[in-house]
Amino acid sequence: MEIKRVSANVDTLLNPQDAVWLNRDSENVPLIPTPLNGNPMIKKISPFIEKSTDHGVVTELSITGAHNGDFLAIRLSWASEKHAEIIDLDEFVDGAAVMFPLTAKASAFTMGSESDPVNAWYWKANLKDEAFDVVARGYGTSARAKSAHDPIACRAVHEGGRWHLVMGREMGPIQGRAGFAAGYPTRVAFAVWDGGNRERSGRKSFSGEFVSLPLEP
Amino acid sequence: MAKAPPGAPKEELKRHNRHIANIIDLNKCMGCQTCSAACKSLWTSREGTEHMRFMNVSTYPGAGYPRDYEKMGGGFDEHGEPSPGALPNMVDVGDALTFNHAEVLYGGTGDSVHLQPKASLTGEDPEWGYNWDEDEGAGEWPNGYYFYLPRKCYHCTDAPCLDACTHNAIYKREEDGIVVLDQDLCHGDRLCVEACPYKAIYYNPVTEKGEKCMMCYPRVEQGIAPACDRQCPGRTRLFGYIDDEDSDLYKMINVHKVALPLHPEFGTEPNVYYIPPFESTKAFAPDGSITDVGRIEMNVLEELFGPNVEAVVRKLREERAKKQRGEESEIMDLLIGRNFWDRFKGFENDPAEQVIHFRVPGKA
Ligand code: SF4
Ligand code: SF4
Repeated sequence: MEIKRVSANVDTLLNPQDAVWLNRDSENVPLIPTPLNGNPMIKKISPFIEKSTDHGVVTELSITGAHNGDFLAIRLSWASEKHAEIIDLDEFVDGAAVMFPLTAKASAFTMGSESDPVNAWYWKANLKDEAFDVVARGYGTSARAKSAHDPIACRAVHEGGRWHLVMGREMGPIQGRAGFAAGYPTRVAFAVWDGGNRERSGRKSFSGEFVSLPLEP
Repeated sequence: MAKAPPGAPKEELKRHNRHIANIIDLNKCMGCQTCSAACKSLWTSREGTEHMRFMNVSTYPGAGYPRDYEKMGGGFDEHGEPSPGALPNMVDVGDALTFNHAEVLYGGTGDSVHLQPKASLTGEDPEWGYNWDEDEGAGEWPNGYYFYLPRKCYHCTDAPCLDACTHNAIYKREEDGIVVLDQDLCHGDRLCVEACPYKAIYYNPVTEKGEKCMMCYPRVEQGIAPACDRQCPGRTRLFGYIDDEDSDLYKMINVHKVALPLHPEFGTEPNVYYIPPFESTKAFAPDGSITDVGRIEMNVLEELFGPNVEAVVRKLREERAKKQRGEESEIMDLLIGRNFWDRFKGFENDPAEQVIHFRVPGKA
C-alpha cells in the first residue's frame, strides 16, 4: 500500500464518499483480537480486562490513503452495525484508530513504551469532525486530547452495513507527534472497536506490528 | 496522595497511612431516605447524574440497588482471582423518573389528571425504579418481614474498581484511604463498574466518565462527617478512623466485634460495617398466638453478612438481656449512643461554620 499524491483539497479528501476515494483500489488488512487473556503485561494494568476473551469481532479493515503535499488523509472502511450513540449506561460506540511510531523502536503491540512512544488518531462514532490525538507510552497510558492548533479532522458515514471513515492532518511537523513528508515512508498500525460487543479500551481488534507506509513523492 | 501515574503498580494506588470507616446500625434504620436525599442534593443534581445514588437505601429481602446487583459479578473469587462483572443499565440503577407535576399541581386539572411517572429513556410507563419493591420484603402472611439496608461505596481496602482501571484513574487517598476517581484520567471505559461487586460506580453519559461516592472528602478534610452520616435522624451511623482506639467505632468493630462487612465473600475488604438486625417483630404461631421467635430468617442474614452473623446476633441478644436485667452492657450503651457526637469522633465540626473549597465536575 502507498499513500498516493492527488490534487484535491482538504474538504474533498475528508469526504469518505468522494470519487477521489471510490475510484481507488484499497488494501485489505486482517485484524486480530488484542492478546489480553494470559498476557502478564495486561494483568499488571488491569487484572479484570486480562480475563476478556470475547473481544475483537471485526476481522478485516479496508485501507486507502492520499495526500496533496500538505494534508495527509487515511480512509478506513469495515463491516459493522452502527453504534454511534451512548444512550443507555451499558452502551458503547464503535471506534477506530490509526497509530504511528514516534521512534524507530516503538512497538504497536505494547502501544509504545516510556522511551519509545506512539502517536494515534482515535475516532469514536459519537465524535463530530474532530478525532482525538493520542500519545501513548505503553498500555493504559494513552492520553486523549483534541487540539485547537493541530486538529485531527475526521468524517464518517455508515452505509451498506459498513463504516467509511476518513481521518487526516496537516503533514507539517508537530512537536511530539508523528511527522509525514512526501517521498518518505511512515509506519502504521490499525485498531477497531465494535461498540455492540462492548469493545473499548484494550477490548478491540488490531492489525499487529507496524508496517511500512510510503508516501508518494 | 497515593496517586500514581498510568502504568504504575496497583499497590502504589492502594497505599494509605490511615483509613476511615463507617458503621450503620440496621436495627435503627427506618428507611426515611434522609441520607440518600442529603447525598443527592449535595453531589448528584447535575446533568448526567440524575440516575446516580451514591447513597441509597433499599428494602431487604429484595432486588437491592442497583437492581439485582448481587447477581452481576465483579470482585474476587475464593482464590483471589478477579470475577468478571456486568454493567447495570438505566433501569437497573433506578432510572431518573420524571413526573407531570406542573400539569397536576398548576394546570387546573388536579381533579382529572393523576401524577404519572415516565421512564427517562423511553418516555413510557416505568418498568422499574428506585425503591420499586419498598417494604415488600419476604415471609408468609401473617409473618411477613423486611428491613432496610443503606449502602454506599465501601472504600474497599482491596478495591477491584482500582485494579480494573487501565488508566489508574482510581486511587486511595494516602491520608484516609478514601477511594476517588480522577475525572481528568477517566476515559469512561466502565471497567471499574463491571469490577465493583457492590455496583457503587455510576456512568455519566453526558461527561462520558464514571462517578462515585468520595465519602464527602471535602467535608472530611474539615473535620465534618459525611453528609449521609451526619444527617441520619435515626442515629444509625458512626464515622471515623478505624485505628482510633478511643472511638465507639473502633470498639464496635475491633473490641466487641459486633459490626460486620456486607458480602465479605466478594473479597474486597469493605470499610462500611453493619450492625445486623438482631431482633424483628415476633412471629405468630399457626394458632395465632405470639411466639418468642423473630421473623427475619437467619439464612437471609448469612447471605448478606456471612457465617459470623449468627454468633453476632446471639451476642447482641445476650447483651440486651443483660440491660433488661439492669446489668451493665457497654455494647448496648454504644449502640444507644446517647451522645450524638461520640459517633463521629474527630469529625464533629458543623458544616455551616466551615468554608469548603471544592470543584464540582463539569463546573468552573
Ligand atoms: S465499593 Fe466498589 S467502587 Fe467502592 S471501593 Fe469497593 S469496588 Fe470500588
Ligand atoms: S437517614 Fe438514617 S434512618 Fe434514614 S434511611 Fe438513611 S440510614 Fe436509615
